[in-house]
Amino acid sequence: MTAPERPTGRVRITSPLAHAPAHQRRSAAQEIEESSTVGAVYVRSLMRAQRRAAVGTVVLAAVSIGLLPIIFWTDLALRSWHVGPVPLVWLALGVGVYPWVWLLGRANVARTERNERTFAALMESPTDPRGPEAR
Amino acid sequence: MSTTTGVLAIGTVTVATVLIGALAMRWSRTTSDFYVASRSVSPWLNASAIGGEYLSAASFLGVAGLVLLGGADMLWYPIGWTTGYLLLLVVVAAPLRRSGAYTIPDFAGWRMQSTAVRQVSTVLVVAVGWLYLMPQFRGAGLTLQAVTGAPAWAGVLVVATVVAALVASGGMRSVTLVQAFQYWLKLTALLVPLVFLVIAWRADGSPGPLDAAEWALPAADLGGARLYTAYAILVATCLGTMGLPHVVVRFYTNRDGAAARRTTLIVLGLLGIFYLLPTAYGALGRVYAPDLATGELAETVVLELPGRMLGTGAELLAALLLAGAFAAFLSTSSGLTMAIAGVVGQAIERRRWFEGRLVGVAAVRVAAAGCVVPPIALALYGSEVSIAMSVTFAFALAASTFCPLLVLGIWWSRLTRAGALAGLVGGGVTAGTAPLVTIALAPTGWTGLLVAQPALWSVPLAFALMVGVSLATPRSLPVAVDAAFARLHTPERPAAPHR
Repeated sequence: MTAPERPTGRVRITSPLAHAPAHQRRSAAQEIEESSTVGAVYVRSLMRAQRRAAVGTVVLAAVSIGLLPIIFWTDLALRSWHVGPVPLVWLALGVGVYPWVWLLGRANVARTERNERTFAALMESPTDPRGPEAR
Repeated sequence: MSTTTGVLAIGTVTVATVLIGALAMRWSRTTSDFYVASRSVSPWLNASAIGGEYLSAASFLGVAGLVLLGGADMLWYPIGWTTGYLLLLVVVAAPLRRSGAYTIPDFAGWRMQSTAVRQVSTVLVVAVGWLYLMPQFRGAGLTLQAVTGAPAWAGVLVVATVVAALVASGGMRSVTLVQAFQYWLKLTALLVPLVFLVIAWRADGSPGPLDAAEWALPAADLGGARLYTAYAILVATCLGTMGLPHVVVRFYTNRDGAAARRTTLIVLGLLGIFYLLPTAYGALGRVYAPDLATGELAETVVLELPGRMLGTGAELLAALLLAGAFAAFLSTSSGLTMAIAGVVGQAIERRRWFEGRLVGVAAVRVAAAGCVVPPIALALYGSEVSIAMSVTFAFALAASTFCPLLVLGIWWSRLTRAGALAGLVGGGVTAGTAPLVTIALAPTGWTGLLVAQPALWSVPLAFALMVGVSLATPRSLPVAVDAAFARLHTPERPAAPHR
């Protein structure tokens, strides 16, 4: 390594880099297409968000439905409760579970689609940290 | 019901099925049409088709029979079969569609970049498919026998022939339309008679079953065994759903990942509505037909009730129910046959038999004809296995193999080829030998329970094998995992704006 030369006097510019490629704005979509490191980071963060949504719904379903056998198949008083002439266990297992499962699914679809919209908005904007206004 | 009415009902459903199939055949031209209806099926049509395909005779006749026999203990089956779709929606629907593969082996081969994983998956698809096809054919034989007095083998052959012809002629496109028609047929066939039955029941003073206390309430005395059974049924049915070959292949017919999700949500609603009905039939059966609560006769409770409870019009309603039951046999069998034929057809293509002339549509046709033969043989000779039992084993096998492969393949980037293979083989061997042990040795007590309902231990085993072996063999990680994950998880763009 040598010390940088000190500029002496005026420097004449002979090539204004007219033929050099212009600076390109790179969108997040391009980064992903070219499987760059930056693209992988975007995809991983989307995947983590989607995985959180999936795990949340699965845990909620597993706990709510998984508790039913314990509630009704052990010696708790709930086992023999009746609503009118119908045992509670039939209302819960024969009817109530189905709308509950549908609602869980509906909530999950809403959340995952929101994640994807956020991601799509990110795709539209260039990765330039100064934002889309900077030129 | 008289034999003439019964034959008429079955004949009408069969003819309608073949007609719709033939109509769709005119559109079915290319190989892509054949496999996945060129991916142009709308969410509502697709959801009806999935519902029609999924609701087998085990749902249409079996659930009511199980409820009649076992009361509240049996309500886990329909709950698991519905919740399975919730898991499918949440965990695999959109990514699976985005993977762009036609079948499970396609997905496995693409994601793991491994021919070995693809081949093991092909074998497993065929195994699960046959295990599930066999009870469909047997159920059809038994129903036809009960109604017409014809020997059981005749019913098996009729259904198998119609199904093979349907699949070989029109492929998935015709199957899609036929299935959608059959969901609504099945729903109507259960709903309309039930309205009349409930009216009759109320006019009768709304009687409850004689043995309400023992039958309707869960028994607390057998605590441990009952709890194990409940959880094992839930795990097998919930997790097995996503691994059934005829269910998964349906997701490729969606336009994109978002459509796949919307479709599955509609299916979830359609299933929830449907499963309210067989439970009601089972409960009414306990009141009006308690004598049927013995063995295989229980399966006929849905068909028997109109005759027992109604005077005029009973014949017509029973015929409607029979038509629905037959639609259930036809739809599930044709979906399964299509799925197996698609996978085997691809394998035939890869082998390049007959100097590579057996490709595309021709390969699927040959495969469809060949694939129905082994389950026919099983249905005719394997009479010691009950219908409910073989359905349970099919779900347990799917849950122990394809469920871990799909879940980890989609969400865990460190899954390796060796890990995937170890899980598929380990889960497949344990869940595959459990039925053999049950049939051959018939163990009793806890051992008997563990092999009769293997899912609760074989599914965790398969997951543990996949994760454990993957962590131990980081060198067999497939290349380009990042690219694969980008494809699975990023939403499709309608048109690339920067091009």
